[in-house]
Amino acid sequence: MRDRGILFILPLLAFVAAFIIVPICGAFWNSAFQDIGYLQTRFVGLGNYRQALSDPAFRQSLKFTIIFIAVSVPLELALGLAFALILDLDLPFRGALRACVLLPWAIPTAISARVWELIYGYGYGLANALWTGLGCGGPVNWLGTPWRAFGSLVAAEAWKTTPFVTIILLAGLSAIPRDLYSQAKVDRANSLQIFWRITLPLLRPAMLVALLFRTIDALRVFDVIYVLTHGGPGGSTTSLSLYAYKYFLNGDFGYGSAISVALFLVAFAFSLAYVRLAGYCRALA
Amino acid sequence: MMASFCLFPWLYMLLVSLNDRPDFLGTQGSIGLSGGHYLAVLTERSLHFLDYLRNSAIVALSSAALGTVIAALAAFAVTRLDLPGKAAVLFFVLAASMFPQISLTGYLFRLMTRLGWINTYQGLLFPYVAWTLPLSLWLLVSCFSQIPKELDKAALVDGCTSWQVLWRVLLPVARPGIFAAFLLSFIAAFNEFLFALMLTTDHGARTVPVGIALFQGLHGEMPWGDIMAASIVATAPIAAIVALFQRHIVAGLTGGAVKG
Amino acid sequence: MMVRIDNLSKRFFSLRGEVAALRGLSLDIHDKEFFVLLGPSGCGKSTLLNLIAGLDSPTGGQIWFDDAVMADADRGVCLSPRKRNVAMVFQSYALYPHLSVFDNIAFPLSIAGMRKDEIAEAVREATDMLELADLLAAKPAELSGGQRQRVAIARALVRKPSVFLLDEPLSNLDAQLRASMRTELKSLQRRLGITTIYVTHDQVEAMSLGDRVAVLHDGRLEQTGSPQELYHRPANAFVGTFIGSPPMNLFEASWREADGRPHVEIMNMRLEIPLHLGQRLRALKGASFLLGMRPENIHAHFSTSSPLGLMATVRSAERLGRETLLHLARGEHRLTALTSAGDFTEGAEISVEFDWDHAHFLARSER
Repeated sequence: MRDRGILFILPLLAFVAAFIIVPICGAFWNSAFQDIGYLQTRFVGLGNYRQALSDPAFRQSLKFTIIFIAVSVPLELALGLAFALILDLDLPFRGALRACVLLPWAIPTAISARVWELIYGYGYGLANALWTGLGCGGPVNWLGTPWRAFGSLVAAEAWKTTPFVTIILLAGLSAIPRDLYSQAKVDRANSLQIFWRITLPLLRPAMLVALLFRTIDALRVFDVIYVLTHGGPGGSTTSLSLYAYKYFLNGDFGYGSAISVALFLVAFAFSLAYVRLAGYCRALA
Repeated sequence: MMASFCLFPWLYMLLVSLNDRPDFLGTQGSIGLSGGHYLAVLTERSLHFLDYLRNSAIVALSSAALGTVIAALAAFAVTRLDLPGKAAVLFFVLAASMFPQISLTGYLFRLMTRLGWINTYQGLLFPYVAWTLPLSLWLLVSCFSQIPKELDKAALVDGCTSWQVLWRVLLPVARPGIFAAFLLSFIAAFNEFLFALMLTTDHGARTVPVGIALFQGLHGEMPWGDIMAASIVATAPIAAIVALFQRHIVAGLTGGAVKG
Repeated sequence: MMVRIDNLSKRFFSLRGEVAALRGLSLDIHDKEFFVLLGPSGCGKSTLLNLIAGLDSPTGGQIWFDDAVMADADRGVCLSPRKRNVAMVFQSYALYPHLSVFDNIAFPLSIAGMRKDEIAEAVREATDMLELADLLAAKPAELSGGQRQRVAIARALVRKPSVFLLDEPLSNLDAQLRASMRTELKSLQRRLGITTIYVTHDQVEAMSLGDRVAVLHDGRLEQTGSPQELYHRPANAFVGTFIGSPPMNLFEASWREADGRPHVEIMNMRLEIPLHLGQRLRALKGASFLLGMRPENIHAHFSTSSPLGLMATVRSAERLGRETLLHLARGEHRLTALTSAGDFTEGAEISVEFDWDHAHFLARSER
């Protein structure tokens, strides 16, 4: 059992290096060039980044991405917590219920986004059927204005990703010893107090994990936007991923790489910050 | 209520796919059930839906299988063998799983173009394996480290080589975890969108999510019935997997994430 | 099979630096012997067992099975467990959870590539011996602790090992089962005549099972000998207090000769001791030493005055059934005495008498 570790881990390292690390480095490299399909490739140093900083479309997509995270992640956490608390109860058909909750997570985002597209569809979609059916007014173009499109995206995204949060928090809940609840009841805490003073604090590590994974995931949001709004209307819902993608699609690899590197750096900073935060919490506990 | 929140889009999908007209809600009435959309999707060759399905199945299954094997070997090395810098490897792989896909696609697109792998199975397979490895590794490391070390010792004393320890003891004991890793990688690869969008060009290798996302009508109007029928067919296996193996999936998700 | 351990040492390297688990230990274990390694946790006994099994390699010294070298740190030789023909039983039993009882026991044989019918025959023999015949199809999770223990032993014995190693095999069982497994193990070992090395921290187990017992402490060998030798002639204070329950009393003592008679001074009292003990005291160089007295060799009397003048106060009396353990105080000193005599009430002043024939004069240990 000696000295053989390297041999067993080599395939993994090779794959990760070849298809994750090298491409990242490649993106860094490419971002230093003006590299557009039909033009001569030219070294520009930080020129692409400078261009991005002064590019209003880039700032718009940065702003969108940040607001998208700020709105959708807390919403998902709140919904996920509610679901987890329900699933933690001793309900009949718990297994079936859990399978239902998992379904949105398991279905390809592109496909569920197609369903949302239909739901939001003008005139005949489910959303408008409910809207008019409930007497709220005439049919609405749910993807037509920047704010409506934003709200529709957040709803679709929250539907898709709440299950993940639920499962993580459910695991956190089931790790809380039941004796603590009994002890709290003996100490005459009411159920609201139990929730605030016991459940929530003990759930904090799981919340943090869910927050970390969801934030990093929301940072790179692409599929749902690509299908639902394609970044519109007027570029108002273009996420950073989609923005970079559009440049790649047009053969502008230099600028696209610069944006994707910027996104990578933000994601990396987030993950480092969270890892530090997690360590800090553990040190407190 | 919770269940209906999770299920309603899917039920709606089912309803539309079975309907003659997508606008049946607007017209307040006649719900004419028919299987016509399914027939179209499954038989109309020009829609290429079956091609997409086949591509997805091949790529997702093979990348999940390959990725799980590689991750199992690596997890064995991390938990059982002498390996300098174990913590660094784990951290590095975790960090790799957080990289935005878009940061990779630019370079990957050019790499695959140079290799002539655009619109091929291997062009998707290799990035998918790399992409699903971090999660599988974390899951299997936490799974393997729960197996008591005394079991290895017993196997060694019973005459096993270290390879036999892995093959005859650890792998069988870790079977639930390995299965979970396989399922999660399969679902991740089946659902993947951005790589597939960038690295495929047509039904030769295009996968179901991209196929459905780019599904356009031949005559201007969106063929919603067909799209939803295709979506049902594509998601039915996933739904079945979730229903059958939800325990494994939940264990996998929490094992990979919480322990990390 | 004879096992010889020669100047064996094992150092572990961890983040906190180097830790020595064994510091140059030598032992000879005879053929067909039931040999027990006894010591508190962290004394290195499990490390030693792992080294004998080949699960770990020594950083110094050698291990021999008869005339064959199993490990030699200087020459970089270390045979893997599969080349040593050892069998091992673990504290957690380490049964393979995915295999049935039959397959668990057959496992070492099938690894060795034995034929199916030979395997079946060998397994049947082992399971008959350990009364497991009814459980062959069960999975380990379905078994009780005692049954798992038997399966682990059967798996170890089925391929007729040259050395049989047991690492605290009984500590997960309840007290009653432990006692009956003890007798069973001993008679099994006698019948099969396999050299057996047994690790435990439980001195009762060590005394009842071992032909010889080695006491380990802090990576060093304190004493090797038969249970009787260890009990009656402990080599030092550690062995004296570790073996025997309730533990031996230890007193800081010094001795001198006055009027041609030997005296011992303990607890600020000078006591005259029998003449013949003077010889033994003279052998201890230096005037100060440790006096060891087992509680059963300290006799308690109700009388208010003692001929030897050693008085003590009863702090508490622990009734153990046949006997009573008295916790006594004399000034700031504490001692215990075992007595079969009646009711000693707390706070009573009593006189105590030492049975000097069972006194242990122990050199102060260097550590």
